[in-house]
Amino acid sequence: MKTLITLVRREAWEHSAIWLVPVVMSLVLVLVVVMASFGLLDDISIDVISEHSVDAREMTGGLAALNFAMFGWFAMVMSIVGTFYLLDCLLADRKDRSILFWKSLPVSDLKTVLSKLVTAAILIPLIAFVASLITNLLLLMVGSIDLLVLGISPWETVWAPNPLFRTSILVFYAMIVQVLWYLPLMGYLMLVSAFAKRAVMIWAVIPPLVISVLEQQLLGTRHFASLLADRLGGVFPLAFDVNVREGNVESLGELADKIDSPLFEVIDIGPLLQSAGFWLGLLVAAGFIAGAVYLRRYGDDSA
Amino acid sequence: MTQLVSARGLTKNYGELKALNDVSFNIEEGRIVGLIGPNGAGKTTALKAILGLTPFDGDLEVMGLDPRRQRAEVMQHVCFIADVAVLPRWMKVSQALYLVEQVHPRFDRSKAEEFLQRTDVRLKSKISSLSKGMVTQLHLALVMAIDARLLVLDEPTLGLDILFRKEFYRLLLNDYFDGKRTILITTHQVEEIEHLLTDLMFVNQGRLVLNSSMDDLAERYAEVAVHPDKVNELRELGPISEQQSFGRTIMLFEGKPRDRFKGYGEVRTPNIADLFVAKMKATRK
Repeated sequence: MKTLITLVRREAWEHSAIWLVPVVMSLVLVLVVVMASFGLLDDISIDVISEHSVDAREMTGGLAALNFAMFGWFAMVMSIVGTFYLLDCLLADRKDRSILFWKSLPVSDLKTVLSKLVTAAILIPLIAFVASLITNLLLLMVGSIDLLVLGISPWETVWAPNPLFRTSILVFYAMIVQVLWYLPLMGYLMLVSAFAKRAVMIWAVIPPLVISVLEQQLLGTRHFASLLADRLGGVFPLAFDVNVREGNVESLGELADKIDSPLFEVIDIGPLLQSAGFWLGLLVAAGFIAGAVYLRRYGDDSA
Repeated sequence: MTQLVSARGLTKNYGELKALNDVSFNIEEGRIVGLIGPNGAGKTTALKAILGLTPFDGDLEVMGLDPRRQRAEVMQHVCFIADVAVLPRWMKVSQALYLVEQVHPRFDRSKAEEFLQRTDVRLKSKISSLSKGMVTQLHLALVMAIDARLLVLDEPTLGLDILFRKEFYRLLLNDYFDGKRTILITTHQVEEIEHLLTDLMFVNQGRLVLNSSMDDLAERYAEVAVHPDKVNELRELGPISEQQSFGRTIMLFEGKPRDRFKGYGEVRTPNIADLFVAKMKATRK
């Protein structure tokens, strides 16, 4: 366990993008809002705000939407960071020829590969989650200062009605199921990373492309492509309550109601656990990861 | 003496090429073994087999473990320096120390730091900013602070200038080797390690062509600077090589008692480089 934690730490040292990118993103967002609020404070007058007064339910719904969007942005950026990380993680040591140094340590190749999986499947999503939470809080503070300047109570407008805790729980749940859903994709990228000697991106794209084209040409069907599209599309349709997943939320007020309703009415993991695709995906992920371990162990023979 | 490494019928094929062809040898504890051979002779393949880095045929035990299946366990007791300059460039020196300390149960960080204090390598430096010689010093510091039973060095001083090379071997012999540890070393620069070896192995074209302790070597091989008028006479004894040097004929004999050469010229033990050349020519025929 100690070794695994050390190895994960090593990944964060080597691939500094996994924490630098969210830090920069957070700073930029905060900076933009600070700049914007200078402009706003000049233009806006108290009357405008009182004229446009929103009711508390809509405020809650709006803040919830903002919380979700915030995590959405970070999740999007971090998925890109994670993809590049996964493609590089088992190639970098071979590319910079330090592989024999790593192999000279009493660490099994299984552990090495696992440390990279943990980095991609646990550390990177956690960083995205924490970064979005912190950014959210920072923006709320900036907003609070703006409101104070305008003579409006920030507590009553953006803190008290803010469902941050509940949205965070939902986001955390969504993150976990999404990671599990994407595990076969992660495993595939690791396998490619362990296999390719260069041009890792091309190696990653070509096999699914070839399979799709071949299937269409030879059988006239598109099962593989739609399977892939389903997988990339994400897990939310399988993991949330029917009303949420069909987008039957028409107003911010309704969203607020949803957020306030008991969690198990929103979350519904049943369809996911009953879907063969989910379990098969995990199986495929295990196969890809085993392949990556094997290649790490015996692969790079000529180096 | 404990057998540290024991290989029986070690064979490794890369397609048509036999990198190792039925090689058998033992390495005993407390020896400094030189594994010498031309490029592509199978040296590195043999080391990789010992380190569990490559699959192979035949039997190989390293401290009673099978490196094919128990690589991580083997590496608890085996240290390895490949081409030394290749430590991860993105790393800081302090990170390298931390990392090895965390994952290696037999690493003594204070020893490594003490060693580094005698060099220009600073803990805050990034490895990419160090010279090749300094990276070597860092790698040596890491390795010398590990209480390992077997140290494997594959061309450890490749690309270093003579000062660093001499220093490297001096430290190895004075600060690391204690008579109980075992070192297995491959290099092209045979002359530089000649004086520190206790055992010698030559490989050529995947085969072991010589495997001897340095003591036995002196008994088994003799180099005679033959008197000009006795050349033909001595040639009948069957030297394994013959060459001209400063107008004298130098003959190298294998397995002949030294008193056979009495009266023919000066007899001495050949140096490894000459023996190597002679052996390589002989096995190529």
